[in-house]
Amino acid sequence: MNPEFSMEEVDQIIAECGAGGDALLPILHALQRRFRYLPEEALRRVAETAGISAAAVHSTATFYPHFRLRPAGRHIISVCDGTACHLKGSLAVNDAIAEELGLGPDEDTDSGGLFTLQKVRCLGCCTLAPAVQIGRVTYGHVRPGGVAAMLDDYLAHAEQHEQGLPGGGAEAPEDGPEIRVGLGSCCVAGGSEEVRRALEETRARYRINVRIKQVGCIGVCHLTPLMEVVLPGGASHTYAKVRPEDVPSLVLAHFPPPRPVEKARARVFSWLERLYTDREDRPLERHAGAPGASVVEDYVGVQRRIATEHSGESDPTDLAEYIRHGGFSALRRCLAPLGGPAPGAGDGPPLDAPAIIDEIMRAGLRGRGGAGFPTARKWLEVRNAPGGEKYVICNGDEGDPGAFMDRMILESYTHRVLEGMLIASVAAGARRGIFYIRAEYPLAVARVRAAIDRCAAAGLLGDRVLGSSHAFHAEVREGAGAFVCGEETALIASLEGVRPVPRIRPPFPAHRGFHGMPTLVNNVETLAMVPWIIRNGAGAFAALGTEGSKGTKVFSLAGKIRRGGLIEVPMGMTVRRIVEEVGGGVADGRAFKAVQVGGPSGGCIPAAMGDLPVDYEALAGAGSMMGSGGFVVMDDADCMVEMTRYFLSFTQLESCGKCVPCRVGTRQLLEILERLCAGRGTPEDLAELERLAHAVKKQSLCGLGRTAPNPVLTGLAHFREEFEAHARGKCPAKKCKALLSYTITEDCIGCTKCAQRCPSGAIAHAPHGVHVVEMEKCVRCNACFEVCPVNAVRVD
Amino acid sequence: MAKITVNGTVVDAPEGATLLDAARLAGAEVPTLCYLKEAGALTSCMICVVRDAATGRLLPSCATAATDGMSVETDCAEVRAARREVLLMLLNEHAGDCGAPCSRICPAGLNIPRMLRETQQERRADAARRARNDLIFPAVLGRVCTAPCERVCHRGQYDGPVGIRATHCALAEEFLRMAAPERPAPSGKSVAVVGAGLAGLSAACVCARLGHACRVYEKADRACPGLRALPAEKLPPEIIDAEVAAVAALGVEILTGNTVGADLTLDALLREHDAVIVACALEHEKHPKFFDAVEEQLHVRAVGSGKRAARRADAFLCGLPAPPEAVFHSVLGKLAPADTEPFAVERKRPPAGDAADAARREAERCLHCDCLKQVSCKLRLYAEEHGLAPQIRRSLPRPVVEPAERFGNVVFEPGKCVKCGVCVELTRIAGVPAGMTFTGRGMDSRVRAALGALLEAGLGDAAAACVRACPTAALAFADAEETP
Repeated sequence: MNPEFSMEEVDQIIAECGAGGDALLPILHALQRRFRYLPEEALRRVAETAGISAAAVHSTATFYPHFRLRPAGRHIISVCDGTACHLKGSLAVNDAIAEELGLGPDEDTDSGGLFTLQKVRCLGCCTLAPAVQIGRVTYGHVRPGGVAAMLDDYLAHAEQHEQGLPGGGAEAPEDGPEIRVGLGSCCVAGGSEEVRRALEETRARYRINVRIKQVGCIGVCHLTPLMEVVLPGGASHTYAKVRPEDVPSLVLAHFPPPRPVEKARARVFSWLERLYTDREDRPLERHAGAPGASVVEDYVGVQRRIATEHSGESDPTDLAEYIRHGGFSALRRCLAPLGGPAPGAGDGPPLDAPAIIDEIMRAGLRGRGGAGFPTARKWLEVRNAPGGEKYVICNGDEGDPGAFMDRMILESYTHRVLEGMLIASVAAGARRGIFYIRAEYPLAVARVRAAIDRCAAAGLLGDRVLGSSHAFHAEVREGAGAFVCGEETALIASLEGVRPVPRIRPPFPAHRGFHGMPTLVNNVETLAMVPWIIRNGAGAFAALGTEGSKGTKVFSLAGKIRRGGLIEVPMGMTVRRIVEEVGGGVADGRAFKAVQVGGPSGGCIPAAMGDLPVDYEALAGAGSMMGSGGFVVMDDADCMVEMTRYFLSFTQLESCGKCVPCRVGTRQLLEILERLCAGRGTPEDLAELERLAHAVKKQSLCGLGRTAPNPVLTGLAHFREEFEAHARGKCPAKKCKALLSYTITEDCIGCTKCAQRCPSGAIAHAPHGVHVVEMEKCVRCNACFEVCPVNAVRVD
Repeated sequence: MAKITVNGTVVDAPEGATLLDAARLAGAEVPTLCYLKEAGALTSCMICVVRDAATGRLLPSCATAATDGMSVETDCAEVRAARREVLLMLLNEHAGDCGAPCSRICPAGLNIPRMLRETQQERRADAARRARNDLIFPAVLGRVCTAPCERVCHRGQYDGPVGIRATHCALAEEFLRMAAPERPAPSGKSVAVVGAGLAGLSAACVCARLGHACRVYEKADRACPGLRALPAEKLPPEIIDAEVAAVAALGVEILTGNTVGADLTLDALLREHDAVIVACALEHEKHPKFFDAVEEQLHVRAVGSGKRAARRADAFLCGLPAPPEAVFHSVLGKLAPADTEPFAVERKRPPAGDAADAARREAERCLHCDCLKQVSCKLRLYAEEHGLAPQIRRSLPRPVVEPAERFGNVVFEPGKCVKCGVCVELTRIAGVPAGMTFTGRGMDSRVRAALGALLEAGLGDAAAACVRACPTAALAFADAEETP
């Protein structure tokens, strides 16, 4: 069922990727792409011929969850179990797919070898939760009942899907009408690629003269796919949740067909189109009806865009457009001869490296990857560190479940990140740059690779960047699904092809990094801020935000929120304003309970602390952290103990296992939380939980272990009564199944519906009598509660 | 040169020194598991943490450069608590017994696996001597003991326990009249023992072996009156006599027909002796020179009680603190059905040699559950030093048993590995082609030979160095016999 193994191909792959530690991860990726898993004989060959030790090959191949050591089916189904997807029932989706494929308890591949099912930690499509990726296609809002249709849809379009990712921009006149379609991952998962195809078909069929333009993420992910019609003169109309079948009528409403023949054809066609495409049970949830531009305006209104400037209007693959919007003017200033004239109209005077660092210092920019280290100080450290070759690494290994801003920025503002990296390289004196991007972000990987080629062709990369003496080459390296690789020393080890476990700092990478050389590691968002600061001045950036946290911050707003998406707000905006004004409040009329900031390493902030300004210091003071910017909202139906258990299950699984406190301690914490959620907890468990949480926080080697207990500690601080209730065997949010008991009250009318629906025979048939639930048999599926017509089923 | 304050003492740490070096310069003991000079700092065990006085942070001393002006504490309450936490974590993922369960449960502390190995190796006299040394009444117990050892024998869950009692019974009867061991130099102290039951005579025997003059007072007209009440076909009197005689042969004076409390008083004994061991139901006031042994109903417990009372008395006579009641043990516990096969199949040895010899045949069934590094294992040593309970309360389910691997004289027991990475580093430095490596990650990470190689190839030329450097018995020499 797997592509036939051939040693010649292994040798060819090794020849293409090169030898030595640096080549190990690319070799493993290539082997897996070829054979869909890593055959042991291939690994032995790598150890024998690629100059990499057997120990390094083995420990690396078995470390990353992305790599398979067992044969896989033709198509890989990845069910996202990130925070947002988990909240919205990803486990039920996973089970439904397993059932559909007929998988046994220890099987992951169906008997025909067609599909392999796996869970992944986060696909970064949180607004489409629950999300499933098959091959390179992402499906959003998947329901357990819709998995069969999803698999059919995939198989029906498999070839087309796998042909390639949307890459190059359309060449069309620059002025004149255009229709913009979002082509970020969320939009594509929401069906924007089909919308684009429908647009092109419509345009061809009715010979309409309009430019179809793919644009980056607009950030309004809850309304994908979005389509914006811009008419000559600038008037624009935005349509949300567009279906391909809606496209002809929407287009024709703005652009009437030029000739009567086409007009007539249009009427008949659109009627037929509806007739054929209105089928039920689509795997993708798509709504007709367009809420219109005002929704987008509300959402965007209180935001302030720096890293995500020109959101929704620019084509991420169009370099010329980026340059027209002022792109690379900041870099031009940084490379122009000092003391000379401004390099371009409207540019400021040339800046040398110390001046660049000074500008960033005065802007108060701090690392957006989590810890908030002053960016300029890092640059200065690298600049001053002795060492011949220096490196800049863009850390795009965004692994937090519930965070997707780095993916969106890389996909939609590719050139901006590249410009930020180039400016950093000038400041730090680096000549080589590496983008380390998660393999789960294929679109981001493809876009950055394409952008590098484009910029190299345009003289923006190479031995003489913009004709100056500055040489800079950049490349993309794919991660392999290990959260710990977001830690900079582990990331560097990963690039070097050794087991990616963190090491103690100091020495910091700024002094001893990639291959022992001074290395600057900056987060995607940090680099995306840089060109704006140089263009607009440190003062403009520092004018935004709070005393210690300047500028804006990009968040992935997700969870139980009405309007999720990629948002960028000034630092210091309160939690409540983000939830209510930007996010439109909690969905489904429930009450706002808490927000989890900073992913599983962050902490929860209760609704009562809604006036907390979101900046580095305030969050840390509340026991949470900025982290990479996940912002997951929870409502009163969410159980904090269960959520804490979920977060610990993540960190426990992602612990690299090097140091004892994190390796064992996180498992001990998880064990206690599982006991509490399963109704086996005791009051002593809470004391042990707290003691262990402090121990893991204080004694672990790296940031992963040192922050993993944050959900436990903030949970105990703000929601202690919920933990205590669990220790007594009660779940106040009625979320922990094992703690629920079902009773039927005297209101029962004896309709027997509950008995009929009960899957485990826990309710005996008692026509016209009051039914009784036998709790020993009950599997707590909640079916009786849902089916009872008179609300006679009580859940406690 | 950096001036470092270690627990208030200032030392000059040379260029490039770590906090661990500085602490050792200051004479402070800092425990380490993963640290080995030639392998460099691996910072995996995190047990060497010290407290930085300036920041309050706990720093792994093996990997933190000693910078001028630093002040650290190596043994404050916080550091000790942190180390205890690490030890508890490691013990939670430890799948192995320190002492074999049979020995651990034996109240008299017979080193059963070692006795069985000696039997198996045709060193029957050594085996008999060991039984006599530990049990004092090996022939008597061979007939009357309830054999708790056999109830906990891991082999019992596979195909029936090893016949431990029958083995020491046969050995003891074969060597019933062996010569008494050489007497040690007299200590100049004298001990009175009240009661010549199993507890009293055992106490007297241990005291005599330690060089103390020893006199036993018994109100009955013969020693061991309780045992003599048993039917002769179950316990022939000549066996009792022979083993009592062996105690007497050490120089123990047994005065029968002497009722303490009537014929002479405890006060008189106190005046005459340096310590008094009361091994009968005699009411008495508390006194620092009094030590109680209990003539328990379970005979082997009576022996154990006597031995412990003698050790307490001895510590008192030598001016030492009282010995601990129990030593630390990592405990594998009852084997789950799934664990039995990997555990037993690998450990059981095919019977060799003369099948007619019943004792040897039985001894060959032993699975040698006792740890090969009972004394040198750092995990156990630190657990003792940090006052962990003799048997920890697990907060995680015990990991499943993974089969051991061996070649030549080297044994690798994955369940005892603390994943410190020392062998991985040593094989890398030695340039072993296959080498040892980590696989997987998190709690599922393991150490093994790379890419499916055998242990022999994985350890290569570095095998002996790895065994010596391994902080636990994950890697050990199969013929190691460490005496606890």
